[in-house]
Amino acid sequence: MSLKTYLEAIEYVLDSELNEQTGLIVFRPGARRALEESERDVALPRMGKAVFQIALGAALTGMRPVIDLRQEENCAELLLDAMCELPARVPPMTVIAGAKDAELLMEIPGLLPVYPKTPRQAAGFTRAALRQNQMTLLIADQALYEEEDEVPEDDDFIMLPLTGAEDEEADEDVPEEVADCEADGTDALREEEAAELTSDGSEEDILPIDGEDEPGEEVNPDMPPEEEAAEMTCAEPDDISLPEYGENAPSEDAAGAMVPEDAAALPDSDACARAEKPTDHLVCDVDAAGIQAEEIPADEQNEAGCAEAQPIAPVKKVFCASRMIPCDLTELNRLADELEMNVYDLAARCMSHAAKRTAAFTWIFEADAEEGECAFLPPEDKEVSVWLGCDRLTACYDPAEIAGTEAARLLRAVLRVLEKPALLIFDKEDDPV
Amino acid sequence: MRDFLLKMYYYLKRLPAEKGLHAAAAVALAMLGEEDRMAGSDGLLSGCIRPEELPCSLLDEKMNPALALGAAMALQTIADGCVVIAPVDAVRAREEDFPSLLQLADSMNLPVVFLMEYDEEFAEDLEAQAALGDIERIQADSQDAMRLMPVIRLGIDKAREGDGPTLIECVCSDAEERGADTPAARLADVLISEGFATPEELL
Repeated sequence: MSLKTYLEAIEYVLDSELNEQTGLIVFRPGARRALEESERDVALPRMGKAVFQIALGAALTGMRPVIDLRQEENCAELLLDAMCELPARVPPMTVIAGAKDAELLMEIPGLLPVYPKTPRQAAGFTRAALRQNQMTLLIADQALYEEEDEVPEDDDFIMLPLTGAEDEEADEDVPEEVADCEADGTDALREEEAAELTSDGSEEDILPIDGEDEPGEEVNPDMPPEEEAAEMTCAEPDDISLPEYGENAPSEDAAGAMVPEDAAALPDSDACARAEKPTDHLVCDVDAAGIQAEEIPADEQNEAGCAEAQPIAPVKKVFCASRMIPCDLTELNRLADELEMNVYDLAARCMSHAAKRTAAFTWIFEADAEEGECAFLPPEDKEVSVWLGCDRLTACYDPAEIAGTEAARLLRAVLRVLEKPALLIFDKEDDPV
Repeated sequence: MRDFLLKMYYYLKRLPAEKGLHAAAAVALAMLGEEDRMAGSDGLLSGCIRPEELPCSLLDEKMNPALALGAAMALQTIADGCVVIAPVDAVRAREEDFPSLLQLADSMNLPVVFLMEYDEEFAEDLEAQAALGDIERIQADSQDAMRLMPVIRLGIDKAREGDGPTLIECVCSDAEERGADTPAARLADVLISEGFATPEELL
């Protein structure tokens, strides 16, 4: 153990992993010089999203790239843009970003987010991120850089924040809230999503998640749906606001299965432990990891302008739009230019408008739509609708009817099934229409 | 020599003739070793790809020199003497980040050979010219494999020896001067006339 600041902990692990893993290569766009005198620690000029292509080139040649975006100002925007251009199956790489726009960063599909809050977690999570077999995003909060803590110098000290698994040695030292985060949600939510996805009557369109069995097989036919959902659901930590879902009576989905209320979302650690550990964690901890939907008042910001840790509020609205096909964005951009509006505002307005006409959720997959065809089928009695043309995936919901966290979770389930990169964009404002 | 020329011919035959960079890409591919790479539209190609496996859409979509630079940085740390080919069409060369990629390749002395479609706009772009720095710049006829061969060989050898990147500007020669034949057809004529292959072999 040694006393290290948050920043030192990250750099220490990067340094040690550079020595340990001969395939590791660190790209630091915007850095004046690389911190380590190594040809595998490369300071680059600022070159926007091209750095991701450089990293991809290195990854395709057998290296494991790390992209340190901490010097980039519009990190979230850059990352969102870059993710749209990367192939659907990206080789393992790690992105380090600042905590500005953390809530947006946490929602980028295809990226496993890791958000350490202490130097100890910074060391453990960084090493875990550098050894994960998937694209990982390490959010390094500048506001915490000077915080000090005892950090193990063991090269095998790992904390796995999202898989539910922990390093054996680190196990007993994991703070409770982290343990909650670690064991929380992911597996059970995945099960729940699978159950929901299969109960909406569109089983034929839904692929097994991560090569597991068909989602429907997880449902115990002898158990009432609400009990089963409760068994498969994990709780959120106490200090986290629960979705507003419980205010509504349990609703029935298209197939008549009951959708659980908040009470059903209480923790069952045994159920979590029983659940098979997934390899894909897009859902992970939207509730536990510090996502804030509200504007942060100036008095709650620290000197660096970052937010202090806050209880989580559910997001109010969410829409996602695939930008795999440039014509979509071009069209949206053209319209935004014409109307002299920010393109995201325009999209949010469109979605909000559409959400007003929907109630109760359903999934609509129209993979056979012609390119450019809008495959929107507004259901009259659904809360959230998702529609997919061959060139776009869009989803909307009525914030008055369903909590943002719930909608986000469902949408991520869809994205995972589709295995298609897409954007989740959270609108913090009230209904702009 | 015969095997090399035949391999080059089959690569050429595989790629559509109308694309300006295809002849240069085919020539470069024939010169690559197993560890070398070429950045195509869909990713990185290994130097040992068989002609029949070569995607016809090799350079159809947006070219990606950044991918080549990443591969070059990785190869530089893995092994000496590897080289990466980065085809760049005129559209890509005009994008604003291209000069910074050139600059990066130059400053890091990366083993990259840029095969660039000659573009007057690029030639007149002062920023791009400044970004070239110490990068050697050579022009070659994009439609003549036999003329491209020594130029590309020079660039590849230079990169292998650790002497940094080369920019090969592929100029499309006058159609009247070169005739209506495709680069593959002209190479076939040379192979047959020089006795490297029979017409039957080249069918």
